[in-house]
Amino acid sequence: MTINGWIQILVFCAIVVALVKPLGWYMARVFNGEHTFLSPILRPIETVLYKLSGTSEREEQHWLTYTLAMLAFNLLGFLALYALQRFQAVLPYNPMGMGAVAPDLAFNTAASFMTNTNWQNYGGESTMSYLVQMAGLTVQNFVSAATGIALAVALIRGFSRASAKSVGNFWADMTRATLYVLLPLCVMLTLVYVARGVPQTLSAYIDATTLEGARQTIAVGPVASQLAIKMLGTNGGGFFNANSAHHFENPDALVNLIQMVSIFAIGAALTNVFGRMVGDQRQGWAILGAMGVIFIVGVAVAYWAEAAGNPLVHALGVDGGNMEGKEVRFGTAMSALFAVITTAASCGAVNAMHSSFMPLGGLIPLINMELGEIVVGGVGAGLYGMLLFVVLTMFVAGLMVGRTPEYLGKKIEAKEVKMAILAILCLPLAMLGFTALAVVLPTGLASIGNPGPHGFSEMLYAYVSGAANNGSAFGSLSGNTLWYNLTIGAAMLMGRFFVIVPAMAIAGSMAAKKTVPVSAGTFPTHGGLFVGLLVGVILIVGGLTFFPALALGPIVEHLSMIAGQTFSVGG
Amino acid sequence: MAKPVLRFRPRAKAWSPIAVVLTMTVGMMAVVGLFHFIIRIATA
Repeated sequence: MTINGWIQILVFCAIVVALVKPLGWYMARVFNGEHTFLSPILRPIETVLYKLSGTSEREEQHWLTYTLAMLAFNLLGFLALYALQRFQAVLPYNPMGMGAVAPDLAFNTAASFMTNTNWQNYGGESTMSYLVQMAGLTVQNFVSAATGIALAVALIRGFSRASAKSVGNFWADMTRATLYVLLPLCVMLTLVYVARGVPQTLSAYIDATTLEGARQTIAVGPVASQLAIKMLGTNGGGFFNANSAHHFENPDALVNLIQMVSIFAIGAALTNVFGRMVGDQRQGWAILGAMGVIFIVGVAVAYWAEAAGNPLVHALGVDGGNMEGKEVRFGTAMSALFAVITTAASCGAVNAMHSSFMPLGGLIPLINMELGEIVVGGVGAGLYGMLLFVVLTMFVAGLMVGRTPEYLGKKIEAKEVKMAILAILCLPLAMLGFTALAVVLPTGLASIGNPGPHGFSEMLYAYVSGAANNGSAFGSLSGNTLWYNLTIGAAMLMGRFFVIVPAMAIAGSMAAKKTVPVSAGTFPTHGGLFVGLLVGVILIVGGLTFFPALALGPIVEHLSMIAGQTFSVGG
Repeated sequence: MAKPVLRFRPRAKAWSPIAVVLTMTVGMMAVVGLFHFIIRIATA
């Protein structure tokens, strides 16, 4: 590790923290329906959308109606994206003449983008037409992110309201998230990326003749526009197969920094929206503090592991950190930081190949996703995932002192705890259940790229990434098979909706409760004790659930490496 | 606070919930189209 590397990490953290209050203030105004500086431009568009669809922003919805509206909207988006892929050969904006996407891959991709996962079992530049990229994938990038933000806001309303029967209007929240938050920021970011050299064109790929006289096809396309929403919406699906390791998709250190900040910006600011809407910004800072503790520890371990490098390589007389699978322009510090950010949030974009990380370096992304990506997390998804852990933490705190747990003046009772546990348990069910099946089935084992614990990590990572709606790939697994397309698709749907529905049930239940006055026995939830307890509950729940699987993968691989044992194809 | 309802689209009875979902889906596609249009104009 170097001072330079840590300065870059701290600069990143400082920028994110500096954005929390202004962006949180702006988003709180947006979701409270207040006037913003963009209202003169965007309000007419918003009004037209409501009128055309026949809905009204003033009509509030019960939590169940809100959830059903979200589910119906997502189902239609899924079907539309599936159809676009299947019919792309006969649709316009297909200058390279891409054929129809296979049914199982189309299912996987549609589930992937609709759930904000963006797991890609295909190479974007070799599989998808421009129409599918723009009208299918990019649209889902916007609306899946907007859906996450809307759900987080609905859950916040559940905590902030008292004796209420409604949690907001899904159509208004989703429209506002798209129009007022994602659209303007994406326009700004796209123009910055174009200025830094990221391609933005609808022209066909370029045929070039190299200095040796060989013919080479250079893939281009509407990259910058997809890149902007890919990071801001924590989607992660790259235009190119190499994602943000590709020089067109991440040309320099400045663009790399902007990409990392844009992954965290909205998720971090939502903690401030939470604080503002519940009437105590300290509550938001406490949640962000708990996220920050887990994040910094993860960055430190990953950076240390990558900077220390491989002792077996050092023994051959090659010093330095682990640069396998990394871009020289980013180095170990920015590759490790990017990996932790992209898996702490549910982004999934990569600027280095996680399979090539040191075992403990690859352990951190796995842990981040297994915990449910509650460190800032996917836009919206991170906050509602963290609030589920808050419910659990307050329950544990209540057990400790023998008092009915309360949070923000609301009593947490059996229903909320059951719903939180249900949501938290569905992730390991999908992650570990599908991994266990893949390990014992020949069709699952046939896709791994390496034997031994690394091969196990490849399968575990695939299902963890899918169920956590992250979408990053470990790198060595051949995922485009019928088995993996269907099972990872199923894991993505479980990981998204089996969490959302219980979370919304909590929102409805909390909104209906009366507020209890603060007393001497009330556990303060804005201080260090609460942050420590919350972090402890997250790590203990995660540790107890996933440690055995991690021990079979990256941990045993690390111990074997120290003992001089490596696992490679044919070796 | 407005009265909560257990319907997708409470005001105009003629519209079905499916129509709301369809319109909003197309509307969001149009918004993303607007995004690409703005970028195309800005980068022309």
